[in-house]
Amino acid sequence: MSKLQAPLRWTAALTLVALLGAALAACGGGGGSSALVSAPPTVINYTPITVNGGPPGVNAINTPYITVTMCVPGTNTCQTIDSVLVDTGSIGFRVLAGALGNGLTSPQLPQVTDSSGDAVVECVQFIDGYSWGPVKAADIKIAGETASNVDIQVIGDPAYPAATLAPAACTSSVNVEEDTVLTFGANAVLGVGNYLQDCNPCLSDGSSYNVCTSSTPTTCQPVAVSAGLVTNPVASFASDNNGVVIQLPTVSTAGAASVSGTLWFGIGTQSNNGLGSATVYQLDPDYGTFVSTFDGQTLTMSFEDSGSNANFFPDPAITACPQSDPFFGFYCPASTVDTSATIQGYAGNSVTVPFTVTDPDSTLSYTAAAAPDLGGPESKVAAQSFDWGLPFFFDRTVFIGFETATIGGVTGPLIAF
Amino acid sequence: MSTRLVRTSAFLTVALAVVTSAPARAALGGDVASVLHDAEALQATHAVTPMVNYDLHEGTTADGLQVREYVDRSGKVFAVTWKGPRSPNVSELLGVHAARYQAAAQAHRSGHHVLSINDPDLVVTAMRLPRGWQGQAYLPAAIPAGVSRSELR
Repeated sequence: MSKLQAPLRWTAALTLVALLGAALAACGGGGGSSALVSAPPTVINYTPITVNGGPPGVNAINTPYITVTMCVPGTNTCQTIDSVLVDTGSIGFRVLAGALGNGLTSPQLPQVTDSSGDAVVECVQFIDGYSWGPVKAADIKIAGETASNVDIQVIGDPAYPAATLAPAACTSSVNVEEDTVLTFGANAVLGVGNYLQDCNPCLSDGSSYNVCTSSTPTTCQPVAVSAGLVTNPVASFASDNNGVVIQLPTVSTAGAASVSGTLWFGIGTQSNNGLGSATVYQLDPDYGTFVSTFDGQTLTMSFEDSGSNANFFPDPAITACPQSDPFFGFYCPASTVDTSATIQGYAGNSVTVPFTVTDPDSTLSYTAAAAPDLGGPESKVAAQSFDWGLPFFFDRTVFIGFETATIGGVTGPLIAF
Repeated sequence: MSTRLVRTSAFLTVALAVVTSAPARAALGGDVASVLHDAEALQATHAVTPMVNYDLHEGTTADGLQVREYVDRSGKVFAVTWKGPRSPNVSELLGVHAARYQAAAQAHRSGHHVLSINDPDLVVTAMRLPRGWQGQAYLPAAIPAGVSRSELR
């Protein structure tokens, strides 16, 4: 595998990007600008984001990645993992077993068990499939921040094969296993959404947490947990733990093969991560959603998600790319669509957000990994959501406030921009 | 609008018998028995509201998942919607159309949070929200006359 070489090159590149990110911030980029002329942060609380297509062979579009160091708790047995998806739409750190083995292996990480010593193994369901793997303890280190001895998931661990162990409640809804780097599209995911646990409440039917026997043959059965064990790692940092800030640059409509931005930890916790002039929008505490209005539709279950690679919204007037098109699943408008939608917070304040949709086949350069004008369809009838994906994050600084935080006088969950 | 609870023990016995004899039946495109099957599988409360042009079957599980099934006068389910803290079993809800959802899931490359099918005979949008799930699926050709599509929520 070429993994040994690629991370080395990237480490050098990422160091430069980190410095650039800091410099940008110091020049007043975005909401963290106000006090940057004063003291530098006491803990390095920022790390570079790259939107570069991801791991070899993935060719991900509009997917933001960072680099994370993962260690056996309390030791120097570590691996630095690149192409870690920064996902504001999920919670918790999950690493693909296929990305390990360059300094750290899954068996080296302590297995989380129930009181009788059986291994806790988690199913995570998505709209397009599921991931399956054991829950382990690890130290997660990013920039100067550490989440010590937190529960994470190793997806696709060969010690717990989904094919023989995952219960029907996990696999039968959408039976597409996403347990490899290629199917998942990243080496790992850092879920830094608005919540602290990956589920609360969690189902006890097998579609969430399970326990698997250590005796052979291994069998698994559902287990009830009061709230998800895999938690938002940022909330476990000693400080800078009330939210995150994502800043991405302007990208031309032709796209870019690679762009760099910055992920900060904490909101208003240091001199470099203040709200500045950003406006806070509280979210529905039950669903993490806000209201968007678009084209006469009131979409009450709308949300932002850095892990969605387009703005997904219902507009049958825009042509959807046909099945034969490489951009099937996205919009292929005949001409550029310049339009807007509103974002209205739970407390009622709202803003109009302009956005553009272009035909990716005719406007995007062949190598583009960042595409700010990418849109995608939902069914118009009965649609309830506007999914503001990564295009929303370009040319913007977006604050993600956790459910337990109070930021700018507003109680989380919240976003600000 | 009157709501009629149908969860009586006698009724459930009948429903279970039907399920046992026809376990392959499921929701969208299926019949009333499949609706009851779903309610049973979800361990949900089950209420039926007669609307002018269809019957609205609503189930809510103990953990808060709401599933609505829209049943026409011939007893066929022409639309299904869901919303709650977790996903329903999409394959069961989509019934005979589940394979097309699976195929779309395998083909799609637009992230883990949105999946849409916009075919002439089948429309589906499934969403994984920051916390929670929601979705809609319907058969455009099977929507009874007089039903506003905005009712299918």
